[in-house]
Amino acid sequence: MVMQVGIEAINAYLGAASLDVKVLAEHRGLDIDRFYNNLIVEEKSVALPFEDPISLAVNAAKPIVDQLTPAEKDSIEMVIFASECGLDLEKAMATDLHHYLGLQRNCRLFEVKQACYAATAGLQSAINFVRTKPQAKALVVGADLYRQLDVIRGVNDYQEPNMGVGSVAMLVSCNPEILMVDLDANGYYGFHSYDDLHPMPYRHIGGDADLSLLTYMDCCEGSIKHYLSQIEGADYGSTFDYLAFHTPFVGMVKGAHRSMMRKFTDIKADDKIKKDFDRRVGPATQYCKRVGNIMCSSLYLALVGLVDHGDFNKNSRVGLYSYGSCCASEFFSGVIMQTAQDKLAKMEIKNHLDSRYSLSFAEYESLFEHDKTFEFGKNNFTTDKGAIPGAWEGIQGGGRLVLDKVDENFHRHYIWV
Amino acid sequence: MNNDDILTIVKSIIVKVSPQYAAVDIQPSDSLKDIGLNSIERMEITMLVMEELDVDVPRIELLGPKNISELVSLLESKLEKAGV
Repeated sequence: MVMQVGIEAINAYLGAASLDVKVLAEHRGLDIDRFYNNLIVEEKSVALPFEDPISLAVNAAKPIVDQLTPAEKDSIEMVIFASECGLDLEKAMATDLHHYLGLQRNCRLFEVKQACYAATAGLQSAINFVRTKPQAKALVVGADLYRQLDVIRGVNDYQEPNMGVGSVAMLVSCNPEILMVDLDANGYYGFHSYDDLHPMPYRHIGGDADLSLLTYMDCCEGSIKHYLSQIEGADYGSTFDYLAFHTPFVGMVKGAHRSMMRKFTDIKADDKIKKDFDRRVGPATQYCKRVGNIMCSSLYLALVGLVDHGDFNKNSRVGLYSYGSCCASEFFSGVIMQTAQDKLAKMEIKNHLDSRYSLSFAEYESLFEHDKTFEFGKNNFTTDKGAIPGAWEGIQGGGRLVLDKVDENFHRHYIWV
Repeated sequence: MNNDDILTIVKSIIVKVSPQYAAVDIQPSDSLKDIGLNSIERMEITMLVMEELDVDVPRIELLGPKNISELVSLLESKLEKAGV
């Protein structure tokens, strides 16, 4: 029997608060139609003072681990944490995640960074690991959050509605009940550029929007071309029932899809391309447009959206495009299993999104003062749980982890609520 | 295809992406940014112009030009190289 490897379980945690972009447009004097039609955004998750990459990751991964039997849990032998919001130059956040999930100690733990590509680097490492050790499982978790420091500095206009908060956790094994990857079907493309940089936390200094958009497009074409050159008979227009893209905002995905259709297929007419977008890409955009860009987890939030909104009466092939600025990219594929939808339904992602506390504009702006305090290497502070009382009350009893304080030794203390 | 043909195509694509520019007298010395097109619209224009002219170059090479005239000259040189 051919080895089956891929994603056994997947879950997303998308923060405790959100902002409707209509509220943002009204107060910023921006054109809401442009948000809806051009960027294609509806809401974004907003970071609260007690959220950080570790708490987000634990909250995404715990429901997956909680569903395992003790023996299955003990078979997790690798934990990979992907993020561009690292908290320490030495300690990997995978060690904190491993601790709060209560995993056994014969386990490889490390953190990966390559902008929004990092979780894909982690996923591919995990796939290769379980291929060599089929009885083991690996946990790959991406977690990133945006604090509004670029907004405060006034360097942000149409980026403000796009940047979100969230984490996606994936359990990788030889029992791929969600996504069975097509082994050795990978196209990659990367080169050096300076399209988006984080020289300091939460500041996208040096980012060049034009360069980043076009680099994304060049990489999309380059990685698909590489994939097609390796897989005999593969065709962009007909091989994939669905497509999921790294989604900084849905409008960008729409542009990329249209460009790739014109490049790789005979379909050139706008109305036909739109129809193909609605059918093959639309389901994967459903959650992304309600959360914003969650960086390295964005592609996997697209996958989660696809599983919840696609039609899987038969196993369906999906093409996945991952992009990370500066830049690395990969196009790969897999089969979404008929078991996927029922399995993911237990995670109740839509309910989770609906239950986020909806911020008023005054509440949203009041968080900026907290955002300013999140400097790299900061210690000796306790997080403000009551900054948005409604959001704090909303998560009580949900079994979620929140950051309580960072002591003078830089040890981070968390509590369950 | 000469400079004027390419300029006509660029102008028509600007209007296609953002119809309000139908009423604007766009000059070769204008830059896409200065006439008020945002980065997503600029990306769309760049991609559509490439598709229309069927030039196969990395898109990021088209970022250098400071105005429409320079963009047209660059596209013309790419078309010449490709022997179109």
